[in-house]
Amino acid sequence: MTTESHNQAMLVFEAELDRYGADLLRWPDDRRAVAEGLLESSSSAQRLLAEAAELDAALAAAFVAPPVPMGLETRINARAERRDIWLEWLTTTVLMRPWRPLGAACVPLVLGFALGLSAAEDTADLEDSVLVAFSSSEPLAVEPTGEQ
Amino acid sequence: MIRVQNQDRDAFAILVGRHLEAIHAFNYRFLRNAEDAADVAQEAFLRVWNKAGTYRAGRVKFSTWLHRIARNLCIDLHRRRTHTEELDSGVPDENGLRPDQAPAGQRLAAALARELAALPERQRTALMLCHSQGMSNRDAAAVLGVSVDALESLLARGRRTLRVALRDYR
Repeated sequence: MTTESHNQAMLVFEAELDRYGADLLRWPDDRRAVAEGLLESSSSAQRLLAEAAELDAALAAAFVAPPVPMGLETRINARAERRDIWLEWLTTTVLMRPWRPLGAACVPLVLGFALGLSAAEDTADLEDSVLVAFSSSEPLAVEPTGEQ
Repeated sequence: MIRVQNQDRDAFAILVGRHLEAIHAFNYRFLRNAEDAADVAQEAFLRVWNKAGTYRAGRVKFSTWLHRIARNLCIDLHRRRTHTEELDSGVPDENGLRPDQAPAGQRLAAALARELAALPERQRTALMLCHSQGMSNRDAAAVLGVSVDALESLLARGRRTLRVALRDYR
């Protein structure tokens, strides 16, 4: 291997170490075979691998995580169960049979209330316009009707 | 997972037991806060329970789907809360030492923590998934929603940045 081709191989190896890490088992088979060949013959390649392994170890240490807090698993399962109980209550108690006749009886009541409310709003509008008309300081223009 | 889709609580409990440690660790690595990590783990599993019907078994592994849910929750939470002050260079470490007074190993660890925090989120998460969550490149790519080639590019850029930045600390 010439110096130039060796340097080129080192550049490729370094780029692949960045891509796949120091654990050669994670490398694609074809690239791993080339890397293993290089590692057998080149101390520079071994140094690069050692440097990458050091970075991997530092990353593993940096990403260390504490154990799962006590009771978290129970809390998660309890939350799921609580949601279930609530849903069950909603579907069986509120939306199912026992309340249906009462719900049906309430429909005319609600409709009547809504109609009454809407009529009240119309009346309010009318009363407002009458109030405005009578509170005006200007005399109201009244068209002569011809009645005496 | 099929049993969970049928709202089988026992199956859900098995699923939680099997994946909680990994997903809690992922959340902690992402958020660097134990309380937030636990809250996000809880929320992630409740989403699994509530939206189990949307999971398609043949398309992605369950653990990949769960990590994707957790990552989205972590990103949302991280946007609301930042803990960068913990990683500031002037902040004393647990032993009360400033980084410049600490032994070489601790200086390297502190520098790595800073450099990791400064990496773009996708590069950091790619490293985390492949180095600490034990995922294959294919699964990690699925979590991030990118191709395997794009994931390897993220890994390469992240590792190169760290390698160059940490040379002075060796």
